[in-house]
Amino acid sequence: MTIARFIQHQYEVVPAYSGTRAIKDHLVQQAALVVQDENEQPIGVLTPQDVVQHYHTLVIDCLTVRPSLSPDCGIEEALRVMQETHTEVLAVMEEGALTGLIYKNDLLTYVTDQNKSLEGEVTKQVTELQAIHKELVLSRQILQAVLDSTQSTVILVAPDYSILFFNKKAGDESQALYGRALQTGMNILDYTLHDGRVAGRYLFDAFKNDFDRALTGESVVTERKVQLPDTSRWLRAEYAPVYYQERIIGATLTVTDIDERKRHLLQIERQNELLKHISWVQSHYTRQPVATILGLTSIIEKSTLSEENIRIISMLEATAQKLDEVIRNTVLTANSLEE
Amino acid sequence: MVKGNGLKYSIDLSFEEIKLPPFQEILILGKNSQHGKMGISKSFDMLVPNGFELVEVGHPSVEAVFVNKRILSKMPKEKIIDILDDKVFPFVSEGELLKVDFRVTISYSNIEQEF
Repeated sequence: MTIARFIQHQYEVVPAYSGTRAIKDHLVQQAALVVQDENEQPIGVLTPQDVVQHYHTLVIDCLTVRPSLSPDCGIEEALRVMQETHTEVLAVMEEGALTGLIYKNDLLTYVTDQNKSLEGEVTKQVTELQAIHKELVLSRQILQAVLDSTQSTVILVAPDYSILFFNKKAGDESQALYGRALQTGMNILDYTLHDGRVAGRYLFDAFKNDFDRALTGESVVTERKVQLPDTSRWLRAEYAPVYYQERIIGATLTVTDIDERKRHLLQIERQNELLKHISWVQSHYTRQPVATILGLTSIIEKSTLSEENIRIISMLEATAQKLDEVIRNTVLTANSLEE
Repeated sequence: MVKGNGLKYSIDLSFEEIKLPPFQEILILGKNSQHGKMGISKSFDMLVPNGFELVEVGHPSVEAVFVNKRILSKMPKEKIIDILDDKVFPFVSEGELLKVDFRVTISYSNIEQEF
């Protein structure tokens, strides 16, 4: 900012050869007087400081040579010149003509007000930031609580594989599986390279590939049977990209123990296979003899048979048809279960 | 003269011619004098236009020296200041105005010329 708006265009003028005593009252009132020569050209600015330091009977002998400023001079530069010349007021010249006077007090008042304003603004912003920070801390605590309450391990990993965040389950699992705690900032690949546990190797062998796919924006889900130190369990690993301001900042790895569900599912699948087998056996092995019985009963010459035998043969044929229907219904039921 | 109320005047009276300014050759202006060099210079210009030259010296006790230009036509001002620095400046007090009689006599001896 320039000094232009602080220039005092109203000032009192005294002749250079005035007596100092004659102008001293004006000087005290005005704080500065513009001194003119006999041609009414300004030759300097007289201040009380000049009279005290160089008291002479004539004004011209009291004058101190000082630099002048231009209207486009900056406030800081003007204050620097005033500081260096130990002066409270300077003349402002433009194209050789006196424009006015600039007072140090005016500049300092402005700067002080600006500083107060800035200080107030900074205080306001700090207060707002503190409120935001408090809110963020609360949100983080809530998020942490939510994630800690899940039965899945959740780890947020940066593109450089450093761990950004993990929940309590992940920390506990890490300690149990690898004998070392997860730490934010650590490279997650270190947990796969330096541990001797099978589970870690098995789970993370594909980690880099799946994680890199997630970094491209793809969600990856894998289910694997993992050999733990004492047992084996089914685990589901989900890799999901994490966006911040439309930019991927990493990916989450969420590992869920699906062993019970998976085993139950496998059991159902095995039962289905068994049903399918039974159905197949029914349709191929059981129906064939029944069909044979029905065929044979249809070709028996009933005219040569006694009434009693005809009745027996009819009952045999009806029974065989019932059995065939039962088998057909069983197969249909098994097929509908398969669907 | 005695008046009726008993009040007396006793007067010593004499006349003397002076010249302005009240010195002719050199004036030395001490530091922190009541009169400043610009004011004195201006007054000299009014009394004797173009008669004196203001010479500023870097002496701790001397603000300035006014030298009659007639002297400057006879010897260089540096020489004059050297002499003053040696013979007068040590005696100048703060705030003092000192007039210096500085009469220059120039003489030649044994002038020989061809006919």
